Amino acid sequence: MMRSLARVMREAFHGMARNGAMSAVCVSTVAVCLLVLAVVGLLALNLERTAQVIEAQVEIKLYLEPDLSPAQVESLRETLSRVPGVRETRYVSRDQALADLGQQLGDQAGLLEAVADMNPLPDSIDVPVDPQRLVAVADAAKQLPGVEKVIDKRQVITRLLDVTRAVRILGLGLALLLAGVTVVIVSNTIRLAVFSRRNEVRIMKLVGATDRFIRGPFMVEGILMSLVGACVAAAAVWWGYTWLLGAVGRSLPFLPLLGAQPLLLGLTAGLALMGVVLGALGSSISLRRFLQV
Amino acid sequence: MIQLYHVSMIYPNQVQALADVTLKVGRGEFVFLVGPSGAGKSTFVRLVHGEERPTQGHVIVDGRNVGRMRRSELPLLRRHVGVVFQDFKLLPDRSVFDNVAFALLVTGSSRRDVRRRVPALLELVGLRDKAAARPNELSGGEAQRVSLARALVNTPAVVLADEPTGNLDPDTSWDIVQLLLKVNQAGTTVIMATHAKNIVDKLHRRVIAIDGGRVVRDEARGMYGEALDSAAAEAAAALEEQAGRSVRPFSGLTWPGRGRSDWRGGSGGDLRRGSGGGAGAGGGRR
Repeated sequence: MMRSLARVMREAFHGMARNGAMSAVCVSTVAVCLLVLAVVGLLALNLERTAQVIEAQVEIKLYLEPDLSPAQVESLRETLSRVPGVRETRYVSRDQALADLGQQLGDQAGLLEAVADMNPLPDSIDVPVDPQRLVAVADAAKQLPGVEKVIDKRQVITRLLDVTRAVRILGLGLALLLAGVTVVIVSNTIRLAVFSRRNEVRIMKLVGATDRFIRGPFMVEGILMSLVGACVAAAAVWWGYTWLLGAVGRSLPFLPLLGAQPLLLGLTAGLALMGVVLGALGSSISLRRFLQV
Repeated sequence: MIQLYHVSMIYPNQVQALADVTLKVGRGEFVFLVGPSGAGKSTFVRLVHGEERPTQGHVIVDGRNVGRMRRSELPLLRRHVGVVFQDFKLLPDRSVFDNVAFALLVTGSSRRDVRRRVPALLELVGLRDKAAARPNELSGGEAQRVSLARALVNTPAVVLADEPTGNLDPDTSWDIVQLLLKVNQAGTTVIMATHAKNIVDKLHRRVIAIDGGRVVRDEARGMYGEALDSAAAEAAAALEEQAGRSVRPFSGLTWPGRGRSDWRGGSGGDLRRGSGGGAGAGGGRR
């Protein structure tokens, strides 16, 4: 067992060394394909993240009837928090609302001084909701006692949901497409490498080598080459994404990019796994035809 | 040793290479297979070591039906049927030593076996000093001797030589044939497909002539062409005597390396175990 493992490793390294040019082509093809795949993957993950951040900001506003007692407000929040789709409830007193408005107006806060004594704003409750249930929550809230008016901006939100869904589908579709293309290109490259050695395989068969005896070194070779390619791709992604985070942090800090970790670690593991699987399957499937001697 | 029963071989492109061939080659025989190009000589060789399966009939090698063997059993057959190819079929990126060693390694032999056995065979074919050379550094005759050493390294019961002298000049050809005779005298069955009229006529061994896929002649002490009259036969006898002398020096041959084992009794058991089910040495059954 140890002896045959040693032989397989030895033959695999000899094979790569003897077919240096072909090995280099394989490694660089794998590296480029996996790099593109990783970039698209990162893009898709960040689009998903952005969609999530945007959706988390969806909320409705309940204007309350004037002169509710604190106990009534409490029981209203209690009831609301049991409605499916409600994430939390935040009570905003009319004084607080006026102060917030003043902040929003910034330089023009002076405008408010005119109305400071007779605050026109009602008490309200802000309710962040699951965007999918926005309409149901808003309709339910309208029925509650003490609620005067519900602001839900449902038309805007519905359009927003359409956009985030499209972005998600686009990201996932691109990633899947690229994954498929990667599989095809890498397995074709490996097939070429095996094809260039079909005579060798044939001779091995003719002197009595079993399929397994021939396949072992070829599979290890395929795995090693893809693994090296995957490592190159991972290193490039690691460097590139770290740089991007720094650059975006300086100039576009509001972009909700995913942090470097554990994203890059996971991505590296994924690339390595994909390399191993592609290398092993690619070489053994390509070899099968030439073993039929 | 080798029996063909009503064997026909039609290739996928409809070429009929063999038509209803029935013949038998006994253990330890030396047989020339002659006939024009395309007569079916190479097909015969391919059938015997399982490179092709017959369209009809049975190819029996040492009691086993080659046409019915599973793919996983063929490697075991091939270790007991050494083949010498016209184009040598050496692995171009390995040394002479490694080429011979490869055939030994596929049987799972240890590196100690390799170190003992490969030099002994290179000695036998006279290439001890070329062990480190690459195939492209060898002359045709040398390459063919490497091919022969590789065919012999597993002490096969049969050696098939498919036009082994086809690419060689007459003198070199004669060297190869003498090596084959040497191997035959050590007890190995040798079947040599050839066009080399002078060699066949000189040695006066059994000749099976194939033409158009049929056996047209099978003579125990034959010539390349038919012996037309007694004069030719006499000439042949004289030549044979001459040839016999040239062969004699090798009669005291001892087999190099490990003792000759009958592959039916010894390692041949592997072949049968492989077919009997369970974990045969061949493994990898689908």
